[in-house]
Amino acid sequence: MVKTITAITLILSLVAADSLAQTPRAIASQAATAYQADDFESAARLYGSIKNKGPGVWFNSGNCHYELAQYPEAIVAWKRAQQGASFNLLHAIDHQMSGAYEKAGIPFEPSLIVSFLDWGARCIHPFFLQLLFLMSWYLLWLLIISKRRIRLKNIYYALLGILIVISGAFLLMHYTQYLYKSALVIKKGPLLAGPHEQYDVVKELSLLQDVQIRDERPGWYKVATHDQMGWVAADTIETV
Amino acid sequence: MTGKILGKAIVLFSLLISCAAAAQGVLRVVDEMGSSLKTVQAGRPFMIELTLSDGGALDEAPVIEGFDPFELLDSSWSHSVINGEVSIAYRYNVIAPKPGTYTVGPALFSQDGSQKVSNSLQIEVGTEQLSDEQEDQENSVIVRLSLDKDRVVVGERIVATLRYYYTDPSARLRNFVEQSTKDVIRKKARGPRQGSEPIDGIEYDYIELDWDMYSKKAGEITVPAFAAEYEAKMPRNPMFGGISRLLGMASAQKRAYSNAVTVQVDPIPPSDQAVQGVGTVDVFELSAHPSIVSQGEGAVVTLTLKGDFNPDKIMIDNLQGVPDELRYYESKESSEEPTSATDLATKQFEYIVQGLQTGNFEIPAQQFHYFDVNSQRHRTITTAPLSMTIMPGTPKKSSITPSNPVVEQKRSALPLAKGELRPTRKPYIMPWWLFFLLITIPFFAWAFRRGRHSLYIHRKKTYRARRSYQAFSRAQAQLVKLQKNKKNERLYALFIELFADKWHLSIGSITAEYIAQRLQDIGMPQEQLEQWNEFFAAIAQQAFAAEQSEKHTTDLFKKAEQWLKQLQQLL
Repeated sequence: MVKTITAITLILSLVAADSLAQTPRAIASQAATAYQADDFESAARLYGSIKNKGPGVWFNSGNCHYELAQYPEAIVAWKRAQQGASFNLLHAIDHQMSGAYEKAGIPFEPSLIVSFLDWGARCIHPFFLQLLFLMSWYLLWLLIISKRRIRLKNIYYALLGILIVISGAFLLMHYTQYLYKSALVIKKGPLLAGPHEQYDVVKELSLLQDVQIRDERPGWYKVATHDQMGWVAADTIETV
Repeated sequence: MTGKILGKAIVLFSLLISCAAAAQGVLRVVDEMGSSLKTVQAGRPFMIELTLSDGGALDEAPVIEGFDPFELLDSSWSHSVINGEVSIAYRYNVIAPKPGTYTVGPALFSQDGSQKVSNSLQIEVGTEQLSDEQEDQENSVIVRLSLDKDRVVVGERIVATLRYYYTDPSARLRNFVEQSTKDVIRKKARGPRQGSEPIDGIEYDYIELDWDMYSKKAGEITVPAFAAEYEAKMPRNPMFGGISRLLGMASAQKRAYSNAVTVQVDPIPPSDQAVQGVGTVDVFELSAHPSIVSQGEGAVVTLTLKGDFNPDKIMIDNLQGVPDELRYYESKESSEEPTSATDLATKQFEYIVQGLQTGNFEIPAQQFHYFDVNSQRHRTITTAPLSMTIMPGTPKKSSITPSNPVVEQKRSALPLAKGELRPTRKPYIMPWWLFFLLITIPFFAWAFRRGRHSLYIHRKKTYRARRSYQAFSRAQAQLVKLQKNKKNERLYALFIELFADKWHLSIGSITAEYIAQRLQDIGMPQEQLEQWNEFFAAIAQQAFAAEQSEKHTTDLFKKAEQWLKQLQQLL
């Protein structure tokens, strides 16, 4: 009997504690109030305390860091917000990110092709891309094996080829993200040939450079830049 | 006799000199090789040597008076024993930064508890190259430093040119060694460029560098001598005879010094206003891009100066007289250094200007106050005023993010996202293995078609081979059956099928003539061939005759059996 009462009391106290705990929406509301009052530090702390952050929370967290002139942190938060964000939010992130790069004194001039691929990979649903690719692929195959005379066959070849190349490029971006985690360089540091300071310096990493994580050791990451591969100290980069 | 007297006199004089030197230290100016120098050159290293002939150890390092104006590069000491007398030499490798007459010494030192002093020196420091080194005669190398002006004001541009002249291409220049000068701001060197110039009737090639300098303070400023390190070819020792020719010329690293130059720097005359620059200004303009913007949007307003000045020292704090309806922020400064001695510098100040209200507004003419070095007086120049049109539009944040707000106005923080606080579900994506599998299906289909076709061809080939291989055994089995059923009319068909199988031919193409020809080709004797023809005619007759003869049946079957055996051996 005593055991039963104790168990019930314990369960009830746990339920009560849980209900008293603040919901993410309540914390976000407090953070927004602090932000509107220009208390960006408190707002950043509150947004940071939310577990399972959605794109909106990451976006707002980035805004707080931006207002605190912590531009690398702001860009990391906005990059995280890009994952799963709505079209409008993506637009707002892109809009603000260039300003943050400029503030950080880093040229933000991605090439047209990279911007296009990035846009396609983020804005077009990956499953739709897969279906589009497969459909174009099969149609092209049927066109090749067909012995019937088809009018404008070469134009169909060209159209299907373009669809395959574009959707394939977008899918390649998705597949790379699936294979490797992306990260940003938040502290200038050397890219080393091995996971120790005594290894040769391959090159100097620039601030806010995009890298891909290929391997991990305690305190070290093996990363790939667009032209080199090497090891960096774990505190040099931040996964996004 | 006279020679002996003269010799004794020289020895006596030397002894007297050495005794005098032993009594105290001797200060002298020497070059790197230890030879005494009468004059030295500003910017060129030389040595002040203190020699103590009485070789006892010093209680502490000697103190040389009048040493401070010189820049000490390094110091060393050595001792030597001549005729049992120990002498110690302290050498100080120094540079005189400016020309003039310097008094060095006496040197004070303490030896075995007693204080001693050396002599004093008068050192003449000039700017010209030492006469014996104006030209390295052996290698025909000259180094010259020149300035485009000999009198400037503080902050005025001076173009310095350094030329390494040579006649022998083997005297390859390695690098220039520069002595630092604290009194000037030295910009990055331009060049090297190459050219040629006659000097004293000799055509010299030269390698040239030039750079801009800006004096920091008034007074006489000396740019010290530069050293040019070059590689000179040296003839090898002839004692090795012809072998040295095989080795080619030996090379040695040599150093040639330029002259030093002085420039008189005058102070800038006083002015009522703050001087924002020194030099000449050819262009001073104010521009906006775009000049028509929507309310809340930002336009980049640029103040551009182009002229002969130090772009790092041009000071413009903010835009003057901006109307209240406009808000502006400092954005960035950019500089372009001159790319040649005759080129001009460019300085740009960018501001982000936002319209708070709609309408046409004017940013008034901007002023720049500077000391004009051409007219040697202060000047104030102005730009044209700049018109800006602010169109009605939804107030929104400027696409150009402002920085360092100059005007104290509260900047609105970035807008927050209201929704999407929860993590969104990851969008469905077909498993990558399935996707790649589906991509490969056309390849599989193609491979299947190809495989099926190949299999058909293969089977066709093997069927014929099998038929050919089994032709005789099948014919013999069939013969037994025909004999049993007494169907001698079928013997003709049996042999036709046998040849068709054996020769991989269709039944229709097998005729009596064809069989005879093939059998003849494979070497069947003529007599046997005739017998075969008779036999084949007999079985053909049986096959196509209306009535069957019972009498010949057994005989035909026997012959058929024999012919099968013979043909098997033959084919």
